[in-house]
Amino acid sequence: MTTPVAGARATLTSWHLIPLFVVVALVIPQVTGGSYLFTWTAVAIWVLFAMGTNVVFGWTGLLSFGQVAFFGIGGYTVAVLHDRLPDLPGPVLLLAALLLASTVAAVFAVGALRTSGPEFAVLTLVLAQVLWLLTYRVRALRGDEGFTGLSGVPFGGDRVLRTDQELWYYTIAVVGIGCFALWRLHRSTLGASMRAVRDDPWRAAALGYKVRRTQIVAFSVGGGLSAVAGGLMVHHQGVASPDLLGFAISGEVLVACLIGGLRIFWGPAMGAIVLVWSHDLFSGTEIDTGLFVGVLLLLIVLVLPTGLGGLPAAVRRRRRPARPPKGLSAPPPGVPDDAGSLARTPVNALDVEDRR
Amino acid sequence: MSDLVVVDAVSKEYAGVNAVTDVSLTVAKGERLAVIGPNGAGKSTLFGMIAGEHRPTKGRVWFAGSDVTAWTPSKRASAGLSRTFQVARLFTSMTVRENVYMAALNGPGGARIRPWDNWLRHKGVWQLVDEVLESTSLSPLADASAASLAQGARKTLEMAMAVAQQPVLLLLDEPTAGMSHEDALGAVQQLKKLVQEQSDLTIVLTAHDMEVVFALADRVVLMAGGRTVVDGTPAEVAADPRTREIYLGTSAPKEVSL
Repeated sequence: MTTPVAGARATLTSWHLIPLFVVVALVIPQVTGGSYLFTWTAVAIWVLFAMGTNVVFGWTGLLSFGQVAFFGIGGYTVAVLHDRLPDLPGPVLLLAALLLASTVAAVFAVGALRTSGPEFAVLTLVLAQVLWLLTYRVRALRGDEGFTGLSGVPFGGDRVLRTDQELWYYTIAVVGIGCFALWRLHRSTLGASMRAVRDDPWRAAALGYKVRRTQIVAFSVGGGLSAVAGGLMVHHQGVASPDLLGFAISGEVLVACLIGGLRIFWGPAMGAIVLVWSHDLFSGTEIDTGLFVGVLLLLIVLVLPTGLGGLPAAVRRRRRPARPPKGLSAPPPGVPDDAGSLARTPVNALDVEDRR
Repeated sequence: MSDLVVVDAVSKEYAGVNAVTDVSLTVAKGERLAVIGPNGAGKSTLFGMIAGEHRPTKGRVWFAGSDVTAWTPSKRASAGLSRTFQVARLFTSMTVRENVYMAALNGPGGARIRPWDNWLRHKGVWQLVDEVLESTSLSPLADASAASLAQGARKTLEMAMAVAQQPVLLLLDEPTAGMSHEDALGAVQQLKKLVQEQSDLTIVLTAHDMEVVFALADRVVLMAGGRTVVDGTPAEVAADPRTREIYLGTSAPKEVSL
């Protein structure tokens, strides 16, 4: 018994997922077209946004109500740079967004993580609202008007990606790289220490883990990836306006994480797919999307607390109830032993290092 | 014999209440010191100041030759201090094996915390983990979730994590608190084994249970009212009239059968 497989369980991934991802990326534009492909592109962007946010929320247990701040920073970075320097290739724009937002996130976290729990969550909300106001106050950001007509992603030389198909491939490639990086991070020693800090910051500190530093890194990574998603969104919509910093977006991305499952690597991706498609399908119908998503979230919290991503494991458990090993008290029925419900998520991560 | 821990005239005040007043204490390398005393004697506060949880209002704390008074718990842990909690603290989303791994990872035989290297790849660390699981009889539970463990097993796992850290100083905060009598006996046996195997490990423990104290400690400090009152071998402290007085003066807990 030398090879522990338990850690791999959490990621449910292997290198085999890469070809699968490539196949999906290639097939979707073939079987769908027009407005569907447009929606799928939005789905991909939200997948990255939710997965990045979950580094903060699910992995590290920090509740941020202001994740849209970084989404917005990314969007405006791409818009402003693209406006001033129209020849700058898309990947450079996204890299700038990533660097700026992760720096802002790190600096913000250094200060804000002197608080914890609800106070921290409120500070993140304040950050997002301040940035939203700045879009009106800073002349270079052009207020309500914002930046329009940003269609096309320059891609080196004279090449510009314009069609829905080209934008899909560009987006899905960026999202794929982002998810791959996240997957590597999740199974790294740093990823493991994020989960340790989430589970019990006091224990983590007693083992020599730097609790606050780990939280700051997680917040910075989450902010950086949210910014990449925001940048992609600006290319997708061709617009960067204060709506990009709308505070409901912060809530929606948390809902995507919750629907899909905080403790499951691909959970937030599934949540993002459900969320974006329900927006798309129900717009223009009698059904209110917010109501639908609300009821869905309620059902998931009550019935399937591990989220949609936990469904396969829940089905397996139902079919073949696990027998606890000797000397082990059985987990309460219905409670999966590897993942916590929302109620068990310690979002109020104590700041051990600054408590004294 | 050199001193591993030096507590130099520390006091701790909480909102005008003196929890600990002017306590000085040295713990030599390899010593097993038990801090006992009635509730409110200041044991936990003193313990917290050594572990880094509390910062003293006055005085200094030295550990392995460094003034650690201002150090965080995390920094003290990296310097070789390991601790257990009264109520076991575990990583509940992880398995028993992964919990021990997290302890070993940051120990002297561990690896750097990096964003890119796969945590499953550190063969040396996982091997140490398996050895520790074996020696603490946790191997059968290795793949069980830490959240599903019974009370006794939780404490055992915390002990295993402390061992995996390969510390020079082990702080045990009420190692048998909240355990059934059977579990407590088992825990004491386990600790005795650990003490025998690692003769250079220094241990400071707090305990209510005198059985634990007599089984493990070679020196006992009795605290009362935030001060140290008696300091000596377990037999000396038990025989001291002040011990009797302190325990009879309070609600005379039954576990002190002197």
